Amino acid sequence: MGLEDEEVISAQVVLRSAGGKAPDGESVVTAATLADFAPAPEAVARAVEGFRESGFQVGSAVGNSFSITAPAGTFRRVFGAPVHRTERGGLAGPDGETLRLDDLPGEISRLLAAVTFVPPPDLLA
Amino acid sequence: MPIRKTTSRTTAAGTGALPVPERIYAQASPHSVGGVSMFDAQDRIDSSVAASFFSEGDLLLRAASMLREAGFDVLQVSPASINIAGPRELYQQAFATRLYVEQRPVIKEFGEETVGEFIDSTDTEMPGLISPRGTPFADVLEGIAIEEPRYFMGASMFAPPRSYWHMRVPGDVSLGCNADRAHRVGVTGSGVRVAMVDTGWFRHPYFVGRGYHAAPVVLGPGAANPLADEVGHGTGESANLFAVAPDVELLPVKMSFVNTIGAFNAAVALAPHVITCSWGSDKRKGPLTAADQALAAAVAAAVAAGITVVFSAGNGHWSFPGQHPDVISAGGVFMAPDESLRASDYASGFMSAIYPERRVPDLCGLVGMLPRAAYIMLPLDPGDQMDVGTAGSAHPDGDETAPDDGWACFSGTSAAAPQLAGAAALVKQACPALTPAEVRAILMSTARDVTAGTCSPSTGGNAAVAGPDTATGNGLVDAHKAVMVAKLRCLGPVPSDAPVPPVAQGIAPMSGTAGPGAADPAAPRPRLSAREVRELEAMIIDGGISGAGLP
Repeated sequence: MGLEDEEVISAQVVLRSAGGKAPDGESVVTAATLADFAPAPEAVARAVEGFRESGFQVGSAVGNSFSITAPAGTFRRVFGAPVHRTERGGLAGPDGETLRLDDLPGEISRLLAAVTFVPPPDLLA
Repeated sequence: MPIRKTTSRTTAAGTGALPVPERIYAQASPHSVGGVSMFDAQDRIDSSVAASFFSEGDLLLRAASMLREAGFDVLQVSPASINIAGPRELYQQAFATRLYVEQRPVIKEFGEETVGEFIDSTDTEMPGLISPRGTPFADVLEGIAIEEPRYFMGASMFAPPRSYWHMRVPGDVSLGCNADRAHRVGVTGSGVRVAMVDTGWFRHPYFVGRGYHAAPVVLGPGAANPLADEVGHGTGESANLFAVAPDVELLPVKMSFVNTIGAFNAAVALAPHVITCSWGSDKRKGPLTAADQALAAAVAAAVAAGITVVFSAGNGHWSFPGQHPDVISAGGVFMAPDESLRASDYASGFMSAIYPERRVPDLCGLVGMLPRAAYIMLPLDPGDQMDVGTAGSAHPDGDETAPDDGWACFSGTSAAAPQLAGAAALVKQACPALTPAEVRAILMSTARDVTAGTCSPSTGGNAAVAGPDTATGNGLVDAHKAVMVAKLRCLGPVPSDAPVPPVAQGIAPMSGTAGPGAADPAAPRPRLSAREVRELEAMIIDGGISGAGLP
């Protein structure tokens, strides 16, 4: 189901580590290994600035990611693709939860491992 | 359009230089399709005419864009209005107005006749209305309604009595977690800040009446309406936290269902001592997704910064991040009326296929049994989703309460997480220098062994046996014993950990309050040798010492 352009949505920007490394699906990311995946401070600052300039509200950066929040129309404009709602109530682009980075400026996209929507959680009551 | 005021309104309570909140919430209404402003409507606005106060989609979008460009946080866009937030200066600049605080007579909870503080503008005769006239916003907005304080009138502070076996807060939950005895020696969570990332928090009369401390709700990305908890989950679970640690400061973070990681990160940025999360997703095996790994990194960063993080183990879920190695994984134990204990068959217990040798849970809180774990009577926002969803059936399928009474009976490992977070808060009060790993180790080593019952059949139905097992971990939390051991640790040489890495290099600076290196300089200096501490700990764990004489 497509979204109205003005609906406010949010996604998570995942940064590459200072060495260019990003966790894959099998990586064990814990307090003991976090340093291997931590982005460089200047990369965080540049990415935050880039998304702010594109019209996003940017959340606190923790670990290797920060949130971006904006109307769906802003996501469509910046990422060059529409966002739709999934059957479970989550969000996705044409390729699923992870958005393509092709339309981002190269100086930003090279800092990023992914921009991903976050599936809705199960409340455990 | 309402006219600009020519005179100031006065009230019985008067006006004055009262402080204005740092962040002001309002509803900006774009021009209505019916041609009449909702603020000029002379008749009652009801469902029969509501659509005439909606706005064209293009206009809504343009208005939201202008507000955002002006610097407002646009929290939510609905057909009739746009929920915004920002500081006073921004409103004054954008709408060429002046905002002030005015006291007006109100009736608060428990019929208390007093005054409330309302924000108003100098623009219009209508209380709380800002006019955009004379500003660029006049083309898109018909008015801006400033949010007002609301007072609760619907629910009782007393839980409805029901005849089936269930726990009541705070007394039964505190007793079941053996927290009463910790409270009796003055360890109540005082000075400890616990962030709860959940569906929001509603200021229920139960909380007001007991004088619990809660900071204003922080909105996670995409969340709106900080005064309401439309689901009820967060409000209810917070009562479990307060039952075990009544003097903590609760920092509620309201998450939207589209970005839990952003909400978790917002909680980390508050620099609490403890974060509790009663949610997760089902991850029986890898690989983890990009979003999972971002959440794993956020959890790891929080723990590396000295924050104790508690997640629910799941209700038949192979829950993530409940199986992350750095969290305290909260499972479930059922306490019967005769005080006997058994593993809850509603709660998960499993060996992680993602993190080698990771057993879930670490230890347990109080959780009900299948089919619905209707076990703890909890306060919530009257008429919210859980109030309605649990009502209407006889126990155990329902909770036999009304759908709008502001009380519902539920548990799950959602309840266990804040109970363990409360116990962790007591431990941190008893010995602030302890690291998250030490807090977890103390809670586990002092838990009451559970040797009966099986965990959820969805995760294998593992049996509780003597000693640690994959049904209940180390068993049911014993807050009093944990506090005694924590006190001992502060009397003896606290084991030092490796240097603490930053949350992430250069991002999310933390205050020193949560870090394991941030030991209170006023904390007692070591007076016992390591051997003496070990021997006394063993005596406490074995039940041979009460600890009442510990400072």
